[in-house]
Order: sequence, then structure tokens, then C-alpha cells
Amino acid sequence: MMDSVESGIKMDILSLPVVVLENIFSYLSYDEIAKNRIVSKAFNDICMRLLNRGFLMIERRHALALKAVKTQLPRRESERRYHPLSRHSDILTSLETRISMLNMTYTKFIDNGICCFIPGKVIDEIRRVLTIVETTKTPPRAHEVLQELRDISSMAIEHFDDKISPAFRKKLQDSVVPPPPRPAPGVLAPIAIRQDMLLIRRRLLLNTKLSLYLTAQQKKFHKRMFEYRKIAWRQRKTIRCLMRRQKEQDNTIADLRKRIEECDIKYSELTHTNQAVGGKVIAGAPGEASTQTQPLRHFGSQIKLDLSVLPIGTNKRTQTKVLPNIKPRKPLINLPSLSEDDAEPPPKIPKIDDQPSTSKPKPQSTIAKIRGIANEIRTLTNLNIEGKLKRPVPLNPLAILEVEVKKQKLD
Amino acid sequence: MPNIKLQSSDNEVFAVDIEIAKCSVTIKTMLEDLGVDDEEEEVVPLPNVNSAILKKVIQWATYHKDDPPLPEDDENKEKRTDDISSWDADFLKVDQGTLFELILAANYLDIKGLLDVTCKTVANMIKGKTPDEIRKTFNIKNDFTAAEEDQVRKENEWCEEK
Repeated sequence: MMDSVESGIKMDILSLPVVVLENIFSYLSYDEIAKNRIVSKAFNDICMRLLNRGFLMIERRHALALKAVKTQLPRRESERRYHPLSRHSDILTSLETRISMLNMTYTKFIDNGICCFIPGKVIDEIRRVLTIVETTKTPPRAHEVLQELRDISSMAIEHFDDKISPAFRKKLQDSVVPPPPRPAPGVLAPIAIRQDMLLIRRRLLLNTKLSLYLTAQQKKFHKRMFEYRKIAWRQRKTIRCLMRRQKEQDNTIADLRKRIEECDIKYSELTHTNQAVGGKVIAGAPGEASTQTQPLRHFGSQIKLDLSVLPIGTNKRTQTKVLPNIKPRKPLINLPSLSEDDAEPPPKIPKIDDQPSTSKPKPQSTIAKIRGIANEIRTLTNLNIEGKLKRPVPLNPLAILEVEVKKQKLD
Repeated sequence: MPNIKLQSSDNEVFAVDIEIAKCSVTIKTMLEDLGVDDEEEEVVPLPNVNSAILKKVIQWATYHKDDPPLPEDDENKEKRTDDISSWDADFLKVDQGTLFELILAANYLDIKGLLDVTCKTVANMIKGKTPDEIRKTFNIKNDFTAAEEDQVRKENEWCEEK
């Protein structure tokens, strides 16, 4: 280089190293860089490289800024609105949309080396907006800041789509899918090249097959996904139906419980009345021989009635325990079981045959009469219970009266 | 003050204060790596810099020897070109060839301050000029074919107001 001065050869700007030239151009705006492309081929190369790098740099800078803002923003959207960084976030989000639009427009061609990021002015504008976001605490509203960027980026994209990209697309297609060269017989390309071409063609075929297969797979998955969604919808419907039914059943159960409680109350009333009546009878005829004192059972009602509480029996225990002012025993309600139905006699209730020794000796005719009366009472009680299976009512007072009258007559 | 001897490509030797010479990161690193003794009178050859340019570089470095270290470049920050000191502006009132030689020397010797100011000067020569004016200023030949030029022009048409 020193030789050039000495020898009088004037040094040219383009003989500077590229790094230095890039350093010089870095002092210019991207708009100027874009405009200077036309100076010469060398200028064009450097400027194209700088424009592409400039776009990549603003993309990265924007991503970093957005990340930084997002980490400081609260998770809840409602809180974000009142956060001091909300405007920053708005601006950066809008900017993201613009950048991705520009990306979609230019990147494909840039990657293929067909063109560069043409609108340098857009890079300058994005840099300006990013500087505002990074340095200002309360930046202006997004639409105010981004007005110019929207205008110029739309202009650039529209111009590129209308005037520039069609030619580029054609160029891209031509370069991507080269017509399969078929060497004419006789005109022999070197064997290595021919083999390469064969390999490439085979790969192309494989790629086509693969892409077809992938498309089919994607369609299949899409279909399956649709089916699953349908099934999920059906199941959701069933669950809703079942829940409704469960609710109905709950209501029914509650109703039934209420009715059972009512039955209990009525039954205890009945028992109480019976005791009162029975007490009188016993008082009128103490020490009479006991009749059959087996518990009354009604299997159909699923309720076992323990009639030992009734003062019908004449055994000693009954005589001593059951008094007119005695409290009625709680009605016994048991779920029926086969074993119970078959054999189990209530342990506390003795049969007539077991206790002749405890009762006073009576003439046979009187005993027979008492037995007949007791049978009648039983029949009547059975009838009553059978008639009101689910709603037990107090025993027919008429029947009780009748029994009383008969007993008195006997006496 | 300890001196270091710098030899230009045309074999002229310049005795320079080591601290001034250390403005050049290349020389600084060399001295640190080789452990050159201050007492030694060894000559450092600079085959890429001629005496005229080396003289200018030493002049610039001597003037700026007490400057604070330059901050690291911030890629995001827009670079200014209007902050050249008047001394530097006068210093760089040279022909283009010398200016480019200075740039090359500053690049080779890794003197950031000098490189920045010279690049700024060249950038100022480009700024605000039309492509044609730039061609004239730097004596650049338009080597585009008509079709290529047309394509570039067409690509840049997007921002032209109707």
C-alpha cells in the first residue's frame, strides 16, 4: 500500500478490505445503503450483505426486547393493561407482526441468494421504534409510533409482491427443479456426472413418494382427530345425561326416605295404641293362659314385626313387664333374609307348649276359648297389616274392642 | 521515557514512546507476548506501513495519547459521524489515497480511534450524495449491465412517492 503512494498509484476505495468497507458503511443509514447499491457491483454486494445482516439484527434485537418486557409483565391480562410496560408490550407485539410479514415476504428469496432485504428504510424505521421502546419510560401509543412503519412496510411488501417476486419465483422454480438432463445417446457426459444425476433423480423420486406418504398420513391423522373429537362430544353428552339421571334418583331416594320415616312414625303410633288397649285387657284378665305368641311377620312387606311387644301373650314376663303405662318398645324393622324366614324363631318369645308350668291351671274349655280369641286378634292384626303394607296404621280399634268384650264375657 | 523503534516498509526507523506505540493494539500485544525488554533497542518492523503514513499515525497517536479508552461499540446504537474533533478534521484533510492508506494502517495496527475517525470521514464523503456523485467522488466505474442496473433500480422503486 505504501508503495502505491510512493509510486503515485492512487488508492481506490474498493481496494480497501471488506471489513473496513463494512465499517465505513455502518455509519450510513440502511436507507442510504440500499440506495447506494446501484453505484457498482462491489458496492451492491457489500450493501446487500449489510441489508440482510441489518434485518437479522433487528429481528434479534426485537426478540430480546420483547422477551425482556414479557418477563416483567404480570401473567394476568387484566393486570397487564395497567402495567407501566403495557405500551412497550403493545408496540413490540405490533412490531412482531410487521417483522413476521416482512420475513414471509423476503426470507425465502434471501435464503436462496436471489435478493437481499430490499427496503433499508424499513430497517431504519424499526430501529427507531425499538430505540423508543428501549429508552422511553412512557412511549406514545402503538398506532402513533408504528404509523410510518406500517405505511412503508406495506408499500415495500406490496411492491415486492407485485413487481419483484414473480420474476424471482420463476427464477427459483427454474433453479430448484432443473429439467432432468437426458444425455442424448452418443453424447456422453462423464460417467461420474451421469451417476450423480441418476442418484439425484432417484432421490427426487423418493422425496416425492415421501411427501405423498406424509400427506396421506396427515390426512389420516386429521380424520382420526375429527373422530376422536366426535367421540369426546358424545361422551360429554352421556355424562351430562347420567348426571341428570343421578339427580333424579337422588330426589326419588329422598322422597322414599321421607315416606319410610312417615311409616315409622305411624307404626310406632299403632304400637302405642295396641299397648294401651292390651294393657287394659291384661288388667281385666290377669294370669290367663297364653295363646300363640309367635311374632307377626309379613314377608311381602319386607318388614318384620315383633309383636312380642303387644300384650297379647300371657306368659310371666309379659305379665310383669307390660303395664298400661309402659313405654312402647321401638318397632323392630329388619331386612328379610332367607335364614330368618326359614327357621329363626324369635328367641325372646316362648311358644305356648314351652310354658304350661308357668301359667295357672285352667279348665280346658276356657283355654280353648282364650285361644280362639287370640287367634282372632292375630287374624285381625294380620289383616290390618296386610291391607296397609306400606303405610301401617294403628290396629283396627273395633277389633280390639271386640276382643275386650269377648274377654269380659268369658270372665 | 523508554522508546521503541518502529521500522516502516521503506526501512525508515521511528523512535516512539512505548506508551504512544501501545495505542496500537497490534504493537501492544506483540510487546506483551514477546516480553520485549524496555532497555533493549530492538526494532519492530511494520512491513505494511510506509514512512509517510507511519509518520501520520505516530502524529495522531501522540496527540491522542491521553484519550480515555473508547467505549465498546453498541450495534444497536446509531453511529454518529458529526462528532469528529476539529483537530482530527484538520489532520484528515488529506487526499483520498492517504486517507485510505491511513485506514489500512489503522486497521493493520488496530488503532480503533484512528480507524473510527477515518471511516467516519469516508462515510461523510458518501453521505447525502447520489450514486452518480459517489461514483465521481471515488472514481468508481459503474460495472453493472443495463439489465442488472434496471433490476436494482426496480427493486428500489418501492419508496418513490407517486
